[in-house]
Amino acid sequence: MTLFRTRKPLPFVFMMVSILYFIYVISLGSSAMIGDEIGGDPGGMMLPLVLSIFMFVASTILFLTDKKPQEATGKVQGTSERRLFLLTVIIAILYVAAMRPLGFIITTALLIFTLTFYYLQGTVVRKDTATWAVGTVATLAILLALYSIGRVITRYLLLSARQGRIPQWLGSTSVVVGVVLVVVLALYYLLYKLTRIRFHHERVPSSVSRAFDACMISVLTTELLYLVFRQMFLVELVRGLITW
Amino acid sequence: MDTLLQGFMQIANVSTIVWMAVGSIVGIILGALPGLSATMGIALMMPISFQLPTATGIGLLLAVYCGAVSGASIPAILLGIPGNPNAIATVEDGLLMTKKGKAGQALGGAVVASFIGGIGSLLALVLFSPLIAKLTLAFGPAEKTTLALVGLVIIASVSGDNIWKGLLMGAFGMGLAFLGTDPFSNQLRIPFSKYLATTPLSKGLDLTSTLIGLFGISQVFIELKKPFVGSQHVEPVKIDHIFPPFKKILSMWKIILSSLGIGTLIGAIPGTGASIAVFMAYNTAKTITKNSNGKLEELGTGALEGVFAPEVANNAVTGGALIPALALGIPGDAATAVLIGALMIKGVTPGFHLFATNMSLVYAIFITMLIANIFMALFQLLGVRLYPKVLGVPQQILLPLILILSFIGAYAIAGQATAVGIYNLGIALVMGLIGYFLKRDGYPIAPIVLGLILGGMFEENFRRAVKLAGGNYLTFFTKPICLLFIALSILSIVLPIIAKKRGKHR
Repeated sequence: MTLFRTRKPLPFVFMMVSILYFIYVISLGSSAMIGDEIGGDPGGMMLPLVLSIFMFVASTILFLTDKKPQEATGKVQGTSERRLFLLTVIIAILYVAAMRPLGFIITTALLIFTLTFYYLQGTVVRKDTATWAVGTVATLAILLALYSIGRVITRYLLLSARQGRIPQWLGSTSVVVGVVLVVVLALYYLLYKLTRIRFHHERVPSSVSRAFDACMISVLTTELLYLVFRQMFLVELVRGLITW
Repeated sequence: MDTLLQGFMQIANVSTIVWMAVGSIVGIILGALPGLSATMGIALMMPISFQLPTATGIGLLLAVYCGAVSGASIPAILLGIPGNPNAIATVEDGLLMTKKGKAGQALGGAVVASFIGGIGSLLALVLFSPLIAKLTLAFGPAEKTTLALVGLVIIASVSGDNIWKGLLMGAFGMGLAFLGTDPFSNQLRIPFSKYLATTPLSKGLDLTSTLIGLFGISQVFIELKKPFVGSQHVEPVKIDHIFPPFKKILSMWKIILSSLGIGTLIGAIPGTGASIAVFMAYNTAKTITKNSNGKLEELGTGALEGVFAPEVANNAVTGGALIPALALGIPGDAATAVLIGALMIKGVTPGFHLFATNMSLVYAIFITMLIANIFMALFQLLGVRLYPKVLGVPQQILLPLILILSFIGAYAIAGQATAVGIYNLGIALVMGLIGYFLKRDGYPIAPIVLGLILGGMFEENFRRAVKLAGGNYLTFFTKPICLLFIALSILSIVLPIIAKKRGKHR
């Protein structure tokens, strides 16, 4: 047990991985090249087996030689940093899991807002939950409004160009993206200018002011990512709850 | 001449110029932000490059690469903190110049030096890469196997402080490359194949998502380990007289040439990288200035010479690292490993085949490298007063943006296939967490990338070579080129161990 207390855990993890890998390769069995009736092909098992043995040797050497430093490294990370780290891991896992049911727009906005808000706060504490919830609703409301305006403009331009009501070039991808970008940015700027003073940190509690900053960053980033990847590069972003 | 023209035509469009300009600015900003590397910048931009025509996409990545290497000098000069390891040696004289009120000249000098380094190494790339690629004509499967081995072993043995960590990471990367299907029999080689056979994982790990996870997401987790540094406080400094006097630049010709040679050569040796080159160039410049009879300022006193030497060298590494990358498919450093990955995703395999069948693309790459260096110099000079403000962007805002860019990048590579995109998100997240634990314990990431890229090449050629030799494994010891590569592999393991032991004795 002393050995485990003085050694780093990663080499041990790799030792276990290499043993499991070895067993797995053996269980798979070898597969020869198609048309290798004469023989000569070392088979698909050969290199993975050698690799697993090499990984075991290397990780065992590291396990025996790579000792933990005298002072505990864990102490470097404070409670706030640990909480923020955990929050990030959880939010990242939730982002991947919720992408399909909720859709790209909602999950992306939530991830950016939540992380930016708590990072600006510097820690995760229960008393910020109400501010976070209100900020989340506000972020989604503003974003959905801007997104919907962008969709209306996009549909109008594409449809009108196809029906010949406006010149064809006005319905090209780059022009549509350009027009939507200009309109969305103008509306965003207007909104920011009108609300910035209201949420200045001298007028409202600092957590509210930070929630406002996080909200504005989240809205802009999500909208820009949508425009670049969906409208410009035609990547199929998951719609989820937003079906329009 | 026709192929040169064809190559030029591939990039002679507004889209290429605009994307390269964007790449250059993004690269400079990423390079200027401490903790963010050129490799991470390239990995984050890969999904965008994937959506563009091949030459334009590669141009974008090269612009990010050159910009990030050069941009690292900004915080090194203004704050004494290098943006990434490429600018470590710029700190000493750069910061002293700022303290002396010569910040403008130091920043401008760094740009001019980076430009000279970039263009000089590009010349070497144009001259040598076709010749080296031609040599590979003599390579059969056995030679290619040992070539992959030497590339892998060199980078594993020189990256990181412990050779075993590097080798273990190289083997881990190869193990990841073997996931998917057997290239010769199509047999599934993934755990839980009963459940995973119908998922995108049956084709192996997506390279882009893996790279984004290892370099982008893991870095976010690493930064979270430390308390937030907030916005970097830059003392208001007067930035004027940006261009160093031409006479002064001419007087440093010995430093420029030696740094250029060191940077290009070190860059061309797989696994060495810019952080070694900059110190070698700095030390050589020290000797040159000492023997200049007072014509040059001594290094360590806030001399422009101390900024020029490392900055010429680190940008010379960019062209140097591309020589083995394009000619042999063996990357010179982690950044070029990601670049090779981007080429492979586009269906372009570096090596002689590329030079023989798609020379127009090779020319396009050379020309985009030239444009990347011009843009790097142009945008860094134009924004010399603006970039210091970038250092004021707090980490609290930057980290969520890097995380989301990493995620969207991994997702977007799937294009229209949303299910594949979500799998890619999962791969990026898992690799990000693995990368975090590895980086935390001082394991180098570059060998994993090499293992991933060279694993397939190694296995295919190994099996082909043994098959052609009728099952004789000794075939690798009967060919002179193979023996040379095996000897190089052994030396690259033994020499660092001997050097380390000698260092301990001293």
